[in-house]
Amino acid sequence: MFITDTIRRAWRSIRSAKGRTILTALAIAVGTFALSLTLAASNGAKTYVNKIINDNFDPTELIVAADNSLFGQGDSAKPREYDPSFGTSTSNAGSTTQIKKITESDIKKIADVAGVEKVREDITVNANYITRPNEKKFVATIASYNPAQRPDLLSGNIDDSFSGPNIVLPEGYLSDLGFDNAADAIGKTVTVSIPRNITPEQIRSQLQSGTLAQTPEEFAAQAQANAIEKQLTIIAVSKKPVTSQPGTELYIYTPLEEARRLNDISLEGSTDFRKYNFVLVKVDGGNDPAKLDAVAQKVKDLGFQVRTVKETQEFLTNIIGVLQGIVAGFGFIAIIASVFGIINTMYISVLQRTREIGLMKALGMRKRDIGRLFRFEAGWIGLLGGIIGSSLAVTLGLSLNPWITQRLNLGEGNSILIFDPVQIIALIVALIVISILAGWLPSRKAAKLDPIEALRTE
Amino acid sequence: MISVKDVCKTYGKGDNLFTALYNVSAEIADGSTVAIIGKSGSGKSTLMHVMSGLDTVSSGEVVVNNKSLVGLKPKQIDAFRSKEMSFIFQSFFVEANQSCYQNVMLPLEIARVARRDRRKSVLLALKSVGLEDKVDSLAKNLSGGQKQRLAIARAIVNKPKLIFADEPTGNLDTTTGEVIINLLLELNKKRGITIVIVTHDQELAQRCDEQIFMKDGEIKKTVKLHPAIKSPVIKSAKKASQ
Repeated sequence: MFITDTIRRAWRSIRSAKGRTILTALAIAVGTFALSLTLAASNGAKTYVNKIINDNFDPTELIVAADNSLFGQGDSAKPREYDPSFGTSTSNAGSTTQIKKITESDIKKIADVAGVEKVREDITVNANYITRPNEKKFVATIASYNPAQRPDLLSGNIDDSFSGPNIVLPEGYLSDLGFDNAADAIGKTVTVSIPRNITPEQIRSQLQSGTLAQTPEEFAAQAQANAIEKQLTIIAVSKKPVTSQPGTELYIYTPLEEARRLNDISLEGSTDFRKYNFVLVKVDGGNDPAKLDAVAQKVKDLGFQVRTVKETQEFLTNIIGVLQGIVAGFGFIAIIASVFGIINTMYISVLQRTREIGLMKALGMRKRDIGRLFRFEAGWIGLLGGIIGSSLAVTLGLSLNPWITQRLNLGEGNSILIFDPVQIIALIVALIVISILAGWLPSRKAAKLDPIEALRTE
Repeated sequence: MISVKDVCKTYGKGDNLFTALYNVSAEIADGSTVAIIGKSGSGKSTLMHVMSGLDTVSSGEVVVNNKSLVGLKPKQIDAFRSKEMSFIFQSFFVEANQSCYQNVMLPLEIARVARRDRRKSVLLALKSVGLEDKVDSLAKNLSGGQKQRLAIARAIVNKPKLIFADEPTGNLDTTTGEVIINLLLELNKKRGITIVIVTHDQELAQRCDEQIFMKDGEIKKTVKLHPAIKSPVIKSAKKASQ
């Protein structure tokens, strides 16, 4: 028998037992559904992480910290030995911990390493508020501008000369600060209030004049009064970012120099003064991984914790990979379970069709072809299950994508479920192969059937 | 020509030894019609199985169309069977959920007949059994007689030289059975196909050229009707019965 004839005969056979075929295929479809969605989610998450990293980091830079807990490696349940470079750090989860910070002298040391082009601090200043005359006050965070970021601008222009008391205002503030549109805001100034610690001189003079704060409320009021207002000029308005690090959507960016000035004002007199969670070290010729690694090693030798952007990316995608692996594991279990379904179905099929097998043998059909006929039937069931499962997954995934994107706040244009046709086809092919393997035992039984016995069956 | 010489067929061992065929010798000439007659358990079906290569012999020799089936590999016997012979069974064994066309197609697929030659052969075979208007009907929608005619179409589609019919009228009423027998004998006459009918129906057997009577695994009697005498006599008898 030609293979194509066998395949077609197999198809007609499973079609003539529709109910059984569909039910068996559905079992496979469940596993396929889970696996397709897992693959899609894995694609989506990796793409999203890569997008965030590429949009926010310069791959020629190293991320350097003094404390390994910043990279999620420290054991926060274990006491750490104190040294004066410790400062506070607030995690995304909101917990404030003490971590070892990068100091000014550290920065000098790193800058002196051969191959380092530039060291820049990553600065965020928690302003009290941002406002304009006759407008309400809104909370604001001012951050140092990272040239690698290149935010999409609605209006204005940032070039290499971006410096001085200028800012890039996020689109989100526009209407609240009383601007009609993005173009309207360019060149206008905003007032930003920077908190300031009370200086020893102030305390001394208050002591002398007898106006020293006695209660926490009085102290807070004095601190409030101590804040200073700065005028900053809007030179560009940024679009709502598609892939920013979560929580940084409303960051107001200002040149590094200006960020340093504001940061100094805000932290002078505190233990965090001129201490940084991490710094970004630009490597001369850092596009060459060998040079990047060489510098990274030198900085590590100085006792710092170093991460390349690539490592960060791998670290994040590894976490995703582990989660995907768990879900994929359940998908595989479902498929293994359905393999027994196929074996069972095919055995029943062989039993029900003893006479047909006997007839085919009497007409001279070879053992090999009879075995094949039944294996192909199993293969067809696998194909059906694969198509049902993956098309359900694609349909559901594509229709849920906008909702998921909205719920997870991923930003427009990002999908967490990305279906790769090649992957889906590979998955279906794998299912066909698995099904054919599952059909092996029943098909052997069919091939070995004694035609005389089979034809005697009434 | 089928030649069976000193064939023994036993099943089981020791106390359970059962002899299905004992020293059976027979010759079936090309183009003849032969009835193998006997009660159930007489060995008539086993003889047919041995002749067609479906079953092996314990000893003896089986030669079909100048080819000895003893010692052939299963693969070779299968190929031989798919080209040289065909079968008709008491319970039709047609594929109920498939169309007549697909049912008749099966032997062509098994024999690896080129695809372009198949359709013509199938339609021709269906026409010769009078089922040309049922080409696309499902086999399960046919009557018993039609099913057996479909089985005959399936048996002749590959133009075999030899057809084995195992109780071909066993599941049919007299009138329908008559139609089937006439069809088989007509195929024998027009196309020269050798037809071996296994039956316990004496009336049917009498219409064949030769009758082999079996009992307890042995051939008890062989009756050969001289073609010159048989033909006119049988023919007139058939006409009279209709």
